[in-house]
Amino acid sequence: MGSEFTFYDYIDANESNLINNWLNGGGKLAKAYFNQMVNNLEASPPAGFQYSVWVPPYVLPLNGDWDDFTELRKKVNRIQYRLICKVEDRNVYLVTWGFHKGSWETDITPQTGKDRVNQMKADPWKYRRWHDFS
Amino acid sequence: MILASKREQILKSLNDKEYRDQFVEEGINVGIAFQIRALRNRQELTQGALADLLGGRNKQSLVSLWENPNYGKHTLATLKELAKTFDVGLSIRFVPYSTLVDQAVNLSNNAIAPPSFKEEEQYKATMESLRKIADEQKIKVPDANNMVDINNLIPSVLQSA
Repeated sequence: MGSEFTFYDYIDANESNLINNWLNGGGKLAKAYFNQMVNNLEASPPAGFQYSVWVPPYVLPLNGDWDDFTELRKKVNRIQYRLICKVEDRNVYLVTWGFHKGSWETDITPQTGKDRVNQMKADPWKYRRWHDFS
Repeated sequence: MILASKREQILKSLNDKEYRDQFVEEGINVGIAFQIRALRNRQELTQGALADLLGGRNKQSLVSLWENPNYGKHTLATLKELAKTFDVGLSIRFVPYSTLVDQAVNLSNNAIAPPSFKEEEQYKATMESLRKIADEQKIKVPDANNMVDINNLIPSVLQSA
């Protein structure tokens, strides 16, 4: 059902689902956690509502360069896996992923993250799909 | 491009044994954490108030841990105590994967924070009153399983009356 929120994956210009690719590649050990989190968050009331879980430790608002973005985190074997998203109204745009192993690593800059959100909103048919649980 | 449904996607992912195992484990860890928090909120309890109701050595900090989706060390004894305190049912069963997938696909806010026994009794009483009015007016009322459905029915029944 998941009627409260909708999670979208970023699709690049080559029609590749970058989020699903990562969850089945480098982020595989955290894939089950992230998919269960997405499923539960989709069914949960938004921030400000009485039963909201859009707060730590469920999701963590980022600050600094990644201000305005939110992340989901899972630690497996001393590596912290992160899925980074932008929440707007009841849409959640998953734009990229990251690792934390000693230092923070992700494949894009915050500006690229913002660009991806804009692409997903401006051209939804091309740049976004409902979150892929496979 | 034909997009697979959420159900088909989850079923496909379960072909991988390692993922299947994680899916079950994280389904419990994440699901229980969400449920404890949502039930506590639905019953308007703070973490400290819930700890007090549970009594014994339970502290607010422990409730906070139980509500963390990364915790994953809930015991059966704790879950049984929580079910008693929230006055909701608790079902722990081995099931086929298809059942787990159905539960995941159909997850709703009401499934995360189910009504207590007392709330269910209130639903039944409200539904009975609604049916009485509908019978008098000779209008049909569909079945409703929760208060949201019942609240949606009330205007149409009253309008017809």
